[in-house]
Amino acid sequence: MTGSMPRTPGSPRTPRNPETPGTPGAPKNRATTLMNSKTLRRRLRVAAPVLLSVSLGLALGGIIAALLQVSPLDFYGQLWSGTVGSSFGWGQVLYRATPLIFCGLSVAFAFQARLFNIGAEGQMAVGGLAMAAVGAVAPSAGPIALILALGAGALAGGIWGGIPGVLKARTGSHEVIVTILLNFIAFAVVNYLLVRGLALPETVRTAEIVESAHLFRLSDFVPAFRGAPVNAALFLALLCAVALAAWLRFTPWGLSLQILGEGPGAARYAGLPVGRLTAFAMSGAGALAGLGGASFVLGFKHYFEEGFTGGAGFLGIAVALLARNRALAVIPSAIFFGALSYGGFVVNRTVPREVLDVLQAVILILFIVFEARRTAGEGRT
Amino acid sequence: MIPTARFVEVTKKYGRVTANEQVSFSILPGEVHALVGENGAGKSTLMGILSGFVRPDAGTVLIDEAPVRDATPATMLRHGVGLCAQHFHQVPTLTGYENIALGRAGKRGLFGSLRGDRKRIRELMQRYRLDVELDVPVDDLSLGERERVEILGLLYRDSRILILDEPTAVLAASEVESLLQTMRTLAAEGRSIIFVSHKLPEVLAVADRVTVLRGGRVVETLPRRDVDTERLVRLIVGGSPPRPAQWSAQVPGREVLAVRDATLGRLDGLSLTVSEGQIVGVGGVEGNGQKELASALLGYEPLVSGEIRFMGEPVKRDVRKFRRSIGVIPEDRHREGLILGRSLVENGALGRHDRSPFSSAGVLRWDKMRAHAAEIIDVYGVRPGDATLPARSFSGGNQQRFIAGRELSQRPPLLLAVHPTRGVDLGAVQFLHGRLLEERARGAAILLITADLSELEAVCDRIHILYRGRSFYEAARNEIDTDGMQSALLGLGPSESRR
Ligand SMILES: Nc1ncnc2c1ncn2[C@@H]1O[C@H](COP(=O)(O)OP(=O)(O)OP(=O)(O)O)[C@@H](O)[C@H]1O
Ligand SMILES: [Mg+2]
Repeated sequence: MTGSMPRTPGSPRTPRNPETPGTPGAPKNRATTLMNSKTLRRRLRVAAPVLLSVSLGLALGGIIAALLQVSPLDFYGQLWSGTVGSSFGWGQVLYRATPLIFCGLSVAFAFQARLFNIGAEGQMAVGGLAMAAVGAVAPSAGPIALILALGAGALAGGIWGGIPGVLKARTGSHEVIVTILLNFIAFAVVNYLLVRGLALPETVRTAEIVESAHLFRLSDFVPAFRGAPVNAALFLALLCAVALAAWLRFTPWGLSLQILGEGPGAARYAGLPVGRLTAFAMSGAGALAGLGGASFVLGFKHYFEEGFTGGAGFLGIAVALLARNRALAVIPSAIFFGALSYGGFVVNRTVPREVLDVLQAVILILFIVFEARRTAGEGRT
Repeated sequence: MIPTARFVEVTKKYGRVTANEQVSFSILPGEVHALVGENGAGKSTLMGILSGFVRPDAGTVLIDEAPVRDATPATMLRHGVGLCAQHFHQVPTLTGYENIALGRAGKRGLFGSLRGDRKRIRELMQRYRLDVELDVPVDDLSLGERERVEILGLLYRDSRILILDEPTAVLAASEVESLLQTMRTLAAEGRSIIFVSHKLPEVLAVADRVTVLRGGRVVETLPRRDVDTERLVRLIVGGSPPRPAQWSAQVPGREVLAVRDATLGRLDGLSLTVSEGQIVGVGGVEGNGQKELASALLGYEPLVSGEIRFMGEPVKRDVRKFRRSIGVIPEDRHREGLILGRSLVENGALGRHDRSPFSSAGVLRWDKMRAHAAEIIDVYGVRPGDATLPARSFSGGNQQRFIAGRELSQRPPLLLAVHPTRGVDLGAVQFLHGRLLEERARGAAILLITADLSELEAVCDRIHILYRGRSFYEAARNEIDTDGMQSALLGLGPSESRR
């Protein structure tokens, strides 16, 4: 414990400063219990927007079901047993969650530098095509084909994502506009390449990748998952999440990115390479989204098919939002959204699938509202 | 006399830190009421409460003896309370005119409201002698100029209670003079002025009454005639006054920094040099090129013409390398010096986090960063002494101490110090001056940009007074004459000043 007088080695004068009343004084054990109940309350406050929006949103689902003359209990029952209530359901949910993890990480990564990556969809498409193209022609010795295919996906996505980053760094053009537009260009380029030789004749899909580039299905080892397409890309996604969290916390580059995001003026003042960091944030985001195709291309169908991204890139924005852009929180968030989107198929027999799309949107809006209320008043004047 | 505003047992706590405790005193119409106290004594918090930005935990604020329920910035504005905050509330991308008119032209409807009544603003500018360029984004203005924009905003709005939270921290002597005069004029019109300052001569020159805060509590409210510097210092620090730092002669070494014919924005052909073991001061009214000089040295903008040399080598391509080998206490502590949302641990390593000792083998050393932040807190007396708190929860002066500490503790060959003692209290001013002199004794070259002439006189070996982007007055320490320096602020030669 230091006293209220600052210690000043080798210096004759000390600045005085008022002791802050109320700081010491309280007996230690009381102070710690007080702390604990306080941390608990703070944790609750932080969790509240997620819990509230999810439960209110799901409650709304019941109301909509009732309006459609379906018993809410039936609705919830079907939703539950079809998704996380059975191992087959889990297998489906996790399969859908896999690209969402990649895309959620992609958006969250760019957001560390306060850049908005709206282009994950296009990055994922470009990455998926590169993955399939390389995977089809790679030498099939050992894991080489797999590594080359994954590398090609990350590289293609990274280049596609890097374009808006470099443009922003060089010219200041806004990444939101550029990434949105690059989505259109990505789809056009992908189609062009498919038509010009990558696709099998008369189809919109590529040739199969070599066997050694396949990612194994979980059902190969866990029979309960039989029939569900969840595959080893899930592990790759989890690994990326953990690696990203660690990278942000423990590396100087990770911290630089966050400094740029949270204090652009401070980053400039400190002489950080702002342009390079911007380009890096966007191409890293692109690479993550580019890997998002692994689940489908390497683990499920073993080829690229037009439209396989199915909106995962856009849903990734929602995933990152609900996860507050924290890498590890992206995992449960992606699983939740994966469950909702698969849930649409499950309940489709009784209520229209679109009800769950509505729920997704409502939950997000509620979350944004609660989150805004929580963070309001945190700043000081 | 009926008070215009009165605090009744106002208490505000932030977690375990007490910012205000049982504060009671009143503000009278037509008075300049000074509010003084050490860094973190609770002055800004109290002003935040009066202007509705901060909600007290307990106690009441009375306006015209009527309690204000549900005080918000909007309601307090309607009651005529205008705050010129320590850290301005301005939209950086809007011009001065727009910032002044912002939210104050409701009657005019949605369209054209941001233009404001230019004629009235011009009149106010002349009447209260607050010269500033109002057609450029305030982002391009120096802090001293933004201050004037802020005050014009309060006058434009015709506030009855004007709160000026450390308005003179970046003003030059001549400007302080005219601001104090403005305050007197405003008080004579029947308004109440609350003047927060660490500069006691100003307080004594202008105040009718003085309230002293210490550790969040009111020590005393006294009429001006009952206080002198000595007494006030004792009330503020609760002890004897700090001893001023002692300058002593020293032979400078090699030239470290040379600026030749630098031209950029309002900077118009400035030349100066700084050598090892030398403190060179650049004074003058803000807006005469100081901001551009700092910009060029920080690598924000390249010079339009001229040259910067560091250790004899021209700094051209490798601005960033140059930037990263020097220490800089920046002008704007909120936008440059700190990442407000991060703890002092990250802030203590800001800009050096990717170098030894804060990172090794590509991995951040959080232990080293923590220890470093704790050391700055300890040596520079930052309170509350908890490095895990976000930078935003420290008082302005404590933030400044931390930044100064961070930059001084890295023992750079060249230190650029822009308003290094802005907003720190008396004791800390002396301490920081002492630290600057210690760094000089160690052999550092120091370029000090300040508006405070007494600061120039306290520590500098050589001074330049900037006027219209040039060094208008230059003198070695033993040649400095205060009169000449003061008239140089206004662009007057020594003969003109005598009149
Ligand atoms: N938003 C906040 N969160 C946490 N603590 C705060 C916050 N605002 C102020 N404090 C604390 O309240 C105390 C009083 O701060 P305040 O800004 O009122 O001091 P001050 O007298 O204006 O000091 P200075 O002369 O340095 O400007 C400080 O200890 C500060 O750390
Ligand atoms: Mg203050």
